[in-house]
Amino acid sequence: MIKVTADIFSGRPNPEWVVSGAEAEAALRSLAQTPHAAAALDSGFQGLGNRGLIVEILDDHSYSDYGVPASFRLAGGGSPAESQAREVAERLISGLTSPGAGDHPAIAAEGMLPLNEDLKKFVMTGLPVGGGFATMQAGEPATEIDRSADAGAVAACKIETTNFNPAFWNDPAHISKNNCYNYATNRRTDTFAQPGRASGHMYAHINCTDVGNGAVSDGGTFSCAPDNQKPRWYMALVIAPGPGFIDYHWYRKATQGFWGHKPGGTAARNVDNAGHVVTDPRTANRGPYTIFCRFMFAQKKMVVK
Amino acid sequence: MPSVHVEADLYSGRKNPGWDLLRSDVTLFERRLASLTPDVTEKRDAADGLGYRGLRVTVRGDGVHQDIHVFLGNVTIVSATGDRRQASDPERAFEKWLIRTGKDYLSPEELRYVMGG
Repeated sequence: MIKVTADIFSGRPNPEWVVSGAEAEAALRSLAQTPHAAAALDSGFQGLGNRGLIVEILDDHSYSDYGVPASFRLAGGGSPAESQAREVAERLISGLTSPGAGDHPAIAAEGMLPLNEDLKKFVMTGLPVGGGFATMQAGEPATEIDRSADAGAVAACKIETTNFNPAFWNDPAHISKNNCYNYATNRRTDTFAQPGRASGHMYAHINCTDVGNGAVSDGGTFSCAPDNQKPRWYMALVIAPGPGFIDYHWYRKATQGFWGHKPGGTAARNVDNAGHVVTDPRTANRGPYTIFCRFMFAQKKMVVK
Repeated sequence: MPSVHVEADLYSGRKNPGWDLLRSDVTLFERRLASLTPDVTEKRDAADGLGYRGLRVTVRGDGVHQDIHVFLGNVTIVSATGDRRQASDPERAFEKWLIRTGKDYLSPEELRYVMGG
């Protein structure tokens, strides 16, 4: 019997399930034939997004019969036999919807997404591609928008980053004229830019869908942007839903790995409302901006105003 | 008489609501500001981050050039030369009075939100 964890999320519990019987035997047999497919737990892609599967052997005989480690990472981009690892991973993911997959004491069902076809598809399509060190994962499905729309953004996407450079934004001549959208898109227009305004499709309502679509209308994208659209900045959209306080806010990932942001006309910073460095906008202290919408990308053709 | 512009520093993406004081309110504003008790203790500006960050008041004209920040009992006044002084605003009385001058420019929900601090 095998416990499988899809190492996807940062804030919410990762999906877990067990694979048993013939499916487990087949997976272990494949791994025994390609021992390098099982990678160390700390190997491969370790950033935000899909980091592959964490596999734990739950019974002694499987461990000894097949000679695989008691726990290992699979299809996280860290194995020299990544294509074989991926094959086994897909087999294990297929078992996510098998009867009883979530019924085991080793499975912490609290707060977990339901084990269904949507989740299976999401985990399957989001597996890192080989050599995942050079790529960036585009995050988990949003909680407030159509999940299927986000599933496409889970594929490994190449992005560019800049060093965190608050001085550029906090120049007294510009600080009050540029907001979070300017910062996230890395476009200092001095117009307090609004999603969709440049393209004539400014949001009608402040919610994840309208504000996100406004940014897409400006040339942003929910899915990977091609190489000819460099630089492709990685952004995150959040919403303050009210009552009383209704607004949106954006973050942008910096080269250092953390996220920068600029609350309205105030200074750009890399810390949240609790003073902690923003390592993940999904889990940062965002004050009234309680809804995390999604990750998305600015690209070369994007124009904001 | 100088002009006094008040901005409720609330939002990150949207433009903040703002308004100019009526002439009759400018006189009251000057009186209320002058009556605040100076506060010489060194304070760090606590208005930062996401959410309500206080009122930003701009006073211009008649030889006056002040940028004033009013937030949760603290008032910071910066002159054109960069001189900075602080005052106390017990019970947020000055801040709440300023907020009420903008009741026609704030939605009822916004008004409640900023009054609540």
